[in-house]
Amino acid sequence: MEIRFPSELSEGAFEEVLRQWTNILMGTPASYCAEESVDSYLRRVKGILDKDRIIFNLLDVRFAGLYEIAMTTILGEFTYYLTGCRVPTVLPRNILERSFMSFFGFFAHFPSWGKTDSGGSMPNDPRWKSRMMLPLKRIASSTHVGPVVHTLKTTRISTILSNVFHNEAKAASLAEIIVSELLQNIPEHSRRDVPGHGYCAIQVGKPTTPEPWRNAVEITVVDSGIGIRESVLSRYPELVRSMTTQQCIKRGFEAGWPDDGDKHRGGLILVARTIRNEFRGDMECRSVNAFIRTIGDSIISGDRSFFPGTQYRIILPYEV
Amino acid sequence: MAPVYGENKNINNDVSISVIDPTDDLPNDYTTLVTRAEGERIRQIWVSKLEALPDGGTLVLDFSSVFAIDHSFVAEVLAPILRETANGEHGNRWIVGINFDQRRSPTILNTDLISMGVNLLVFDKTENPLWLGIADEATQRVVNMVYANNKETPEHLQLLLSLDRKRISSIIEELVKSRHIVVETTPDDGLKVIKPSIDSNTIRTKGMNNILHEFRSRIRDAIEKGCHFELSPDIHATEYLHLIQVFTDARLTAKVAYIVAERFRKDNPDIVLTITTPAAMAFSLCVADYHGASFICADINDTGDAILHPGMSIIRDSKVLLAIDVIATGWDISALLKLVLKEHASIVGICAAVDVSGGKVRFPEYKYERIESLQLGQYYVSSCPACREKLLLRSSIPVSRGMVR
Repeated sequence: MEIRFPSELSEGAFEEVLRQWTNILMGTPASYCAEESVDSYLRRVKGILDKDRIIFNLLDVRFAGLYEIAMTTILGEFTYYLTGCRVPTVLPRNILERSFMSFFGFFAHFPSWGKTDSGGSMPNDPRWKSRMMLPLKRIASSTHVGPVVHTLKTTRISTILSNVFHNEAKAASLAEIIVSELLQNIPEHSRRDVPGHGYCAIQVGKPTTPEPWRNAVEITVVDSGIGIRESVLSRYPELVRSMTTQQCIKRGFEAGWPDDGDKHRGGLILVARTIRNEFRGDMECRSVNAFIRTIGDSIISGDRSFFPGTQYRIILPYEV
Repeated sequence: MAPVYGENKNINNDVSISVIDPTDDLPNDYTTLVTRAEGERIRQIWVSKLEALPDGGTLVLDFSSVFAIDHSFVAEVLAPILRETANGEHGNRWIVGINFDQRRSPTILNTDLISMGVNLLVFDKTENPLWLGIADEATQRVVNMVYANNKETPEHLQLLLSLDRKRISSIIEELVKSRHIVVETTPDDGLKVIKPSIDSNTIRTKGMNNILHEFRSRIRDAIEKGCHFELSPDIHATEYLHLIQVFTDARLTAKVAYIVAERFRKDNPDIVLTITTPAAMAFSLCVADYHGASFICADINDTGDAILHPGMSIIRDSKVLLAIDVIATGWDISALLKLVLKEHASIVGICAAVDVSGGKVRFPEYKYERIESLQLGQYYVSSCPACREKLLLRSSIPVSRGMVR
């Protein structure tokens, strides 16, 4: 079974990749029932796909954004988990064609889930460091959160952020509110059968997506955990049981959850408000089978094909 | 002297303070208070340290090595303990922060504390007091003025802050109730005097520069006297600083390095370059970490040339900060300087943990910062007393080669 990645792997195109992947799952006797627990669904699927080969064909990919690289990584890991085999991956032919992947740190994590027959060394050009702030970083436990936030507060990166936003407070908000809050959710949202981990990456400079974005800082945080609904369900079962994933995500970002003494449960609202009010930025949050997107003051939400966990893509524009 | 406003007897005349590094109990998050998972455990540790203080004591949180404090940590740890302390649940005790860097968390902590309804007195690195978490601007100005000047009168505050008498009285009453200040009446003339509840002077004296005091004391213990070391073919030492003994404490090394690294913050180096000795590398790695810069090292050969370690390179036009543990003769730094210039990079400055030359080594063309300066016994071979006494010469440490002055 092969998943063919398109040549321009940007946001809309990646949903097409996930649809191919979901079709493979749907081809099994097990299909995802709406609002089913991620753990229970995966237990059913894992036995069916065991030892199957699912090939990732990235041969034609010429462009991929930060978020798409992170999603490919987490998709690869997840496929490895389901099939029990490293994912055979066909990479672009030569170093030049693979360079954008190196830019985001894709190859640092590829060996953990994939294998390839493509020859040649993986590119690692230090010149990219001046533009990339944080290449793909693995968050495997709560102890990994601090060092990532620390990196954002070093002189080099805090200077970059302060310069692009013309504001030291905004630079601090990005690290201590947005990144910190989202990263801390990763281990908390982990699945029982797999120790929780995810990835984050941050880029500043001219965006590498083909969309007509202004100059922006892009943040991506992805995990393959239990998702927002299931996480909140354990704390507010009576309230959440009747809600869909879409409703849960929307509520998490708009209204929050009852304050039962756990103050930090308002983290997502804080993130959303910071993105909107301080940065005039946009955000997309995808969780299991639904998504929410903020564009300015508008919120769009809808359904998505199944994929475990929660993934964020945040765009914080700045003026040059 | 009895307070005039209310029944407030919360005068912190006791000089008991306990200074702690708030990251000490976080084995992995050594510079960031961003943990949500361990919040309750950390809170309990702080409570036990607070309650171990005598009545009137102050728990001082040293933020000098803290890079970030996020919302969850404030909500989970800091705000609850501040609330309990303000309510008197831990007796007549206080919590104060020192070495607080407003550049790192400019408004976030203040905003969070305001939203959670708690306050925290902090001193920045220049020892200026600042109360965080006070929403009302006039109230904040009053309390900060009292703490900055250590003593104020209502009339003076009225004049300085252009507030009317009623407003000042109501602010003072609120601040007394919340234990921020005390009001006393002078017995001679019945004048009301407003003072801080917390003994800021003692905190400034005992709490600030805690790291430097510790570092200096450890340096003294690491000096070997009556020895005979070859620093270069021409220079011998009868006193030698084994700084590596101090730098086995990783946290102290990081804190010391951050102090000097901060002085180059505006220079924003791309690379930190040092020599390949354990102490130099330990120190310089932390300096590089502070800046988020690349770390590279070089060996110094017998002819005084610096050779980069295999696999390391200096990119043209990059900004290089030279870092070293000890400057004794300046030879190592001279070799590194030559290397950087040969690679067509620029030098933002030189930093060292300790300068033992007694100020004899100078780099007039470059910004030069060090934590501590000493003068240890160094002699030209011709006048070396240890040579005259025929003491065994040790030269196993790869130190600076000779630079005849």
